Amino acid sequence: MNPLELFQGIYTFFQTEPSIAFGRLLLVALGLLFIYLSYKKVLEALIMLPLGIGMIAVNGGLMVMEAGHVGTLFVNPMAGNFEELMYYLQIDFLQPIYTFMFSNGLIACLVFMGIGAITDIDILLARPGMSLFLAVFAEFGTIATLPIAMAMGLLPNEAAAIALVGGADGPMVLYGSLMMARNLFVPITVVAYVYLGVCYAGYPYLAKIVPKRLRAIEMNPRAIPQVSAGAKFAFCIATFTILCFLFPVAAPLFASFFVGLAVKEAGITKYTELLSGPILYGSTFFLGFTLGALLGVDIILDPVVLKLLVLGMVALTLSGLGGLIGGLVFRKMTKEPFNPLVGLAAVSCVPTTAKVAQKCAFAANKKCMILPYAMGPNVAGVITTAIITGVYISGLKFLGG
Amino acid sequence: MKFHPVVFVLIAYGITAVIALCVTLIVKVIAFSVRRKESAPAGGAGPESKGGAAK
Repeated sequence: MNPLELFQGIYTFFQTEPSIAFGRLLLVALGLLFIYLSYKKVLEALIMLPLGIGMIAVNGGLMVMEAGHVGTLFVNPMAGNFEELMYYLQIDFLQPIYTFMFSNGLIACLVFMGIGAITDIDILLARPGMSLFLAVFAEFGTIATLPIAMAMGLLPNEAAAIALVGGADGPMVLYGSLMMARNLFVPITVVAYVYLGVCYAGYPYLAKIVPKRLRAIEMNPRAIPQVSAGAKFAFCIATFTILCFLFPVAAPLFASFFVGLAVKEAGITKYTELLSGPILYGSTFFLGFTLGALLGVDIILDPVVLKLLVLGMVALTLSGLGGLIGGLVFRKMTKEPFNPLVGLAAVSCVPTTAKVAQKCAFAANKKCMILPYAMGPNVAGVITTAIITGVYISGLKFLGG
Repeated sequence: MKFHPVVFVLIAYGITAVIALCVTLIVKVIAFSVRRKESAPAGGAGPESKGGAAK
């Protein structure tokens, strides 16, 4: 008997091909990097810290299973038939979460309910034209990446799923990739969350394409008109109803987001607390942890992952550029003083890009306060991304997907 | 029917823009009706109070 068999995580290094052993080491190192960057607040700790821990656990904790094959005690996304699924539900401790919350998109919907319950739509309603105009511009990455991805050899459904990264909404990317490219939903969602985390550090460089004199334009937050609670509630219900009629495939996402909004605007405090606290943070935690546990070595050995990494970056960069161009165009159209950096917030990723826009404006002018204005396009970005997700899922058949 | 990817995304972009415009219109209509409702009681209060004073 080999004494190393006592330490199965190490023993399995010598039982697998060198490429797999190297891949495991690489993923453990990547997991450690995510944990470090989360600790340093470079990446979004809420998701990337449990994700990093899940990655280390699943790539370090490989062991020889019953039939002599190598596996873990975490989750098996490939469990196919009923007997196999029942077996893994009793063995793998994250399998119940994956089976009952991931494979049907429930976890994305729960996160969306929480996001709805913490989202402030005052500015969106006070300045709907500006908000939605910029949000449409900031979807440029979501639109342009699809043909680029297909030109790079991805199938239409895979191309549409990775293009959604341009919408910069993690739950939407998760839901969209589950609906359109289930085989790639893990790498696509991880790519999305990593890049969304990096947005905070990367977008300030992109913002420099706007001349400093324009970045320094001050906007008066007091000029924003007040919106009544009744108007906000009516908006939630009317928009939600119309969107459900238009895109039933994305209705779970719309229902989740707008139920959160409606509960908040109706002043149902107990539900608002439930959705914005335990449900949002509980589901975000298990989203990160289970995603990390799904990020096994077989994922990165797939050559398509390299393309996804490139396309994710292309999508977010183009969306950022689109938002800034939208900001510059809107500045020409309006008579009021308007800071084009507000367009960057339209990329969505609530509230990260709004904070980035404020950070860049503040760097150019210490008296500049654009955050209240930036929140409008920020929320509008969620709505336009949800619309594009619905169009892509419904329209795949027209692409041969 | 099958579209070229560029044509497909242009159509998708167009649909998104149109729906965004519709959402803007919804907001405008809601804002208008809320403003009318708010101004109606204020407008109605005048004659009533005048009437009360006459009594």
